[in-house]
Amino acid sequence: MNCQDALSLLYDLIDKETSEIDTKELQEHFNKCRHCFERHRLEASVQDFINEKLRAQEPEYNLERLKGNILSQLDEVDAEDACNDNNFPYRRAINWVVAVAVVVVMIGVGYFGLALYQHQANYIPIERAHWAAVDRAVGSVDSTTIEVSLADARKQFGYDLSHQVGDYSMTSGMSEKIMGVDMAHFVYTNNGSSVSVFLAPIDNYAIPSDLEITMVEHNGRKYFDHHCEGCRLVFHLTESAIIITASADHDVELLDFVPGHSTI
Amino acid sequence: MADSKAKESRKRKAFEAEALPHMDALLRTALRMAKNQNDAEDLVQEAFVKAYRFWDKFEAGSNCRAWLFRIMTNIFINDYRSKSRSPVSVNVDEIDDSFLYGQLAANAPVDNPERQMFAKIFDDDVKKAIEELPDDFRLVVVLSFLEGFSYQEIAEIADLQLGTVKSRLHRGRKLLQKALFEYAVKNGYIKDATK
Repeated sequence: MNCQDALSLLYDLIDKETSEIDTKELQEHFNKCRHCFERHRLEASVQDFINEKLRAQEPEYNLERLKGNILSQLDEVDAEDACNDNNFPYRRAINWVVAVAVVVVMIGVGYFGLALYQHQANYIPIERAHWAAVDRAVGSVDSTTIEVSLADARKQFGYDLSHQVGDYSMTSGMSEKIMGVDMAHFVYTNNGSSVSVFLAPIDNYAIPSDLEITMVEHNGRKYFDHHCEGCRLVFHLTESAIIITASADHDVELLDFVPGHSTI
Repeated sequence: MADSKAKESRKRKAFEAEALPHMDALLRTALRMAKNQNDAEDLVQEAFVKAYRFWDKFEAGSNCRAWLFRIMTNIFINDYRSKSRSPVSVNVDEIDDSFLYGQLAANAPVDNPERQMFAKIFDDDVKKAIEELPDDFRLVVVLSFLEGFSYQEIAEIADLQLGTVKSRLHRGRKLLQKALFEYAVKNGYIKDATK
């Protein structure tokens, strides 16, 4: 090792970064070279002086206060973590439960929604027709249209409807398309209470199978009763027709409005 | 929740046992790096809070002290370094490697000539000489001189190449020696020596 090599490793040696071999060779060189020995001694001495001064300068410090501050900040982090989902131990399990719950709710909503949709599709058109007829009939009795409609109903379905059922009088009669089927539609009114009677051809119309209905027996005849919030419907099947009576008035005995000749 | 609390307190215990004892060292370096005592304290506190948040990232058994210094150095470089970072205009290369040796040999042809110089350097002079180093040099100088970290450790702490650590340390050392010599001269060293 020459002087140049030795001087290039001088600070590495002072910083204790030289390899074992280099350290040994440097010592050997210093033993032979007075100049390099003195240079190293001086640099090491300056380094020791600086290090000593640096370390001696520790200011009087209230470490306990700083430690207290740090600990209270750690408390805050702990408090945050306690609320933080990331550190909640059952997070995975909870995620699963939530996922399953969401699926169950979605299936439930879907099922309920479908039922509601079917219910509405099966029921609403008849109720709507009932209300529309009631609105139209208010204050205007067109006896010509009624007579024509009664004649048509007699011809098509074999039923003769009376002008009067109890205190109710027929105030309109027409033919209209409901749920894609031509139906005869008569309306009876009494003091603001109204009842619709629909006659539908049995070949073209069936009671929707998913409609919630209750079977009622009355005077030996069977009727299918459907109660809704807005309107009550009674379905009655004969050989030639399905007769539907409808009213928003739940006190009316709808069975009275079903014309005779039932075969069931 | 009981499990979570137990986990928290286990984490807290481990942190207080392994990390917190290094507070003195972190503060010592922070005081050299930051502009004032308040900044230094804030720096240490921020470092501990950040370290605590990332405690699960710390590999048990590895060098906790170096890890904490790395976190603190990062915060220092990002948030505390002198806002007006004028490029380092110190012309270090003008200083000859053997500047101090030459000066001392010329001024005092005696055994241990540096002792006379040391006698003219006050504690405050050393502090000022360190403070006057540019941030980048001061960081490696403090980590090496004060904390005794190896070149490799400093490279990891300050995210530098090993060669950069060595060159910054070398230049920082030369600047420091020159400044100390000048303080000694100012305090009357040459006058005494030339008598």
